[in-house]
Amino acid sequence: MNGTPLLRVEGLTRHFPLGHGLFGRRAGRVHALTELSFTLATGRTLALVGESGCGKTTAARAIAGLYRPDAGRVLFKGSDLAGLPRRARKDARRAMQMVFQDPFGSLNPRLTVGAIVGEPLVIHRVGTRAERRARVDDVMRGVGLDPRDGQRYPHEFSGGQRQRIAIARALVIEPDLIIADEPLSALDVSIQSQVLNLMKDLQEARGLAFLFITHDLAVVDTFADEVAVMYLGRLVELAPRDRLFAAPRHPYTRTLMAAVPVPGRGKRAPGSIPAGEVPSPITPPPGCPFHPRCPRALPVCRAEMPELEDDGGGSFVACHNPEPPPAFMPAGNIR
Amino acid sequence: MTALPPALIHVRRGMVTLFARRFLDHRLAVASAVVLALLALLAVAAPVAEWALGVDANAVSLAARFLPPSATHPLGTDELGRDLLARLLYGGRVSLIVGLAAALASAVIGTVIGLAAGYYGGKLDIVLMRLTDGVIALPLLPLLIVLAAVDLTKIGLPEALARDADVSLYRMVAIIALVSWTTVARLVRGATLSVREREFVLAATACGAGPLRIMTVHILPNVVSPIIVATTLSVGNVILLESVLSFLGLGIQPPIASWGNMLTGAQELIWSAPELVFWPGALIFLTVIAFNFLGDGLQDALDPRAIAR
Repeated sequence: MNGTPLLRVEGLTRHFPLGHGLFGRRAGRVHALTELSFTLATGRTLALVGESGCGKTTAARAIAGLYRPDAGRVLFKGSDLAGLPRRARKDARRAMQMVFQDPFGSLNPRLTVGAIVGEPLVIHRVGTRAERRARVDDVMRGVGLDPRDGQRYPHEFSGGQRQRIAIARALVIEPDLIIADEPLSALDVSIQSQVLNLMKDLQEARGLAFLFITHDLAVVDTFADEVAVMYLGRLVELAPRDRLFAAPRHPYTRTLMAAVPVPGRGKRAPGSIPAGEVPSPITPPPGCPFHPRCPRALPVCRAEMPELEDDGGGSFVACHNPEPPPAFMPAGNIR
Repeated sequence: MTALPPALIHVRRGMVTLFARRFLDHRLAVASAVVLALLALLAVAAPVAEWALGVDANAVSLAARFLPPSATHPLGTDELGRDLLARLLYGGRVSLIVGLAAALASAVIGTVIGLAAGYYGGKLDIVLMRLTDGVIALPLLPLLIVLAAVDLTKIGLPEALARDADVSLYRMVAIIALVSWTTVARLVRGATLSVREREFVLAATACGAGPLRIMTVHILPNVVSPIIVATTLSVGNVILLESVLSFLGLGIQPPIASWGNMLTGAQELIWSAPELVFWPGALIFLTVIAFNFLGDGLQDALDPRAIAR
């Protein structure tokens, strides 16, 4: 991790109360996100990966300030957003924009595309009406849309075009960070690569940082600089992409990678699919959340939550009994 | 990638066409709309009709009581010798004005309360919804009677204004609006709760939009359909309420004609002059049922599940 940290997340925790009884009795909590910490430098891409329900979206929304965290802080350019007064928080949000998973749900059906793309400018009172228009046209061209489409409504566009609109909305205010919550998963594979290439180009042209949430490891491989793997609301491994793909240290990461079918690259490793179900996030198992399914579990895993520790080779891993480091592995075994 | 296929270009116009076609398919609703337009036109033209017939809706003439229909009095005259047609037209004015104004006012009150309750949630939601439940639970008629009996000079209105003949009309609108906003409030709250969770609202919040902007730009335009339908349906109810109050002598005060107070005047004459009861009663019936059919038609035509997104 080099460069100045643009985003620093420290111990971010969010537990959702599970409804409550008539007199406020809490029925339980969903441990959606527990003590997430990482840093992201300017112009870099961090991919947040994991199965559905592992807290990726909660993490994205908590970082974007849509959810108030129960604990922990989000430092953006060094200042804690939650601690800022309203006005300053609004200004800080200018530089952090979000792209959502569902391009059908994230665009207001009653607004024209021009109004949607230009909305951040209106909210932050940027420029005159004419300047805003010019800026919107510019950005629409930048994402490969015809500025004349600004008169139309979202339902007139295909999924890929809508995601371009959503990206244009995120870009129009010239942010430093884009939080993209599974921006590709609602799109066809052919459209996925177009949108992905668009985001890569934009990153190169503007020095954008991406926090990229996905469950698609192929996308991670082409786009991410660093990868954070989450399981049941916790960060289990954080590593540079090449290292993670070459030698995953956490048993969960290993099974996750082995589960990806790779065309033309042979069979899946035996035993690659973890046994059993993902435990309920309402009653997470004691100790390491992965121990009930872990092939390498030790007695200590049942009792103690492993800390996220530097393994000395650039990876951070939360495991009592990690996979051996790459030095002991035959080269080119996995990739 | 950039250019849309030509077939897609007309989709928006297609949506409006689709709405129009659905509405036109609903024959009763179309017939109701025509009837209501006709009634409104006639009510607006009341002074013209008066002038053309050479009569005065409020001129009492003991010599001309209970006249049968004739060229000057197409529907005859009432117990005080006033032209029945002219009074019906003026009564229609009152009924429609009160109906529309009170329905609109209650839609505004209901929308504001429903939006606030649905968007902010929490304690505000609880307070506003219990208030709504409370208003619904109030026995309507006694309440209206009490409110209608309030002496306006006692609540600080100047004497001259309180005695103004039109004031009974405004009073009517205010009273009805105060008790009939609950339906819209509940509908808007429900719709707001679901729209609030849509991603475009989150997107605007993430971008820094304030609550006012979220509510007016992002939520309100997506909940207008139920508001339009509920408001249309409530016009009929309001006209009924107005008739009831006027019938009880607490609504529109004579000599201003309203369909309700025309019924009051005619109640003792139901055997001797049934036409005096028939006409205002039939018009109330027609108007209320037309608004109900219109509301149903709009509901079907605006049904969001039926419109391609």
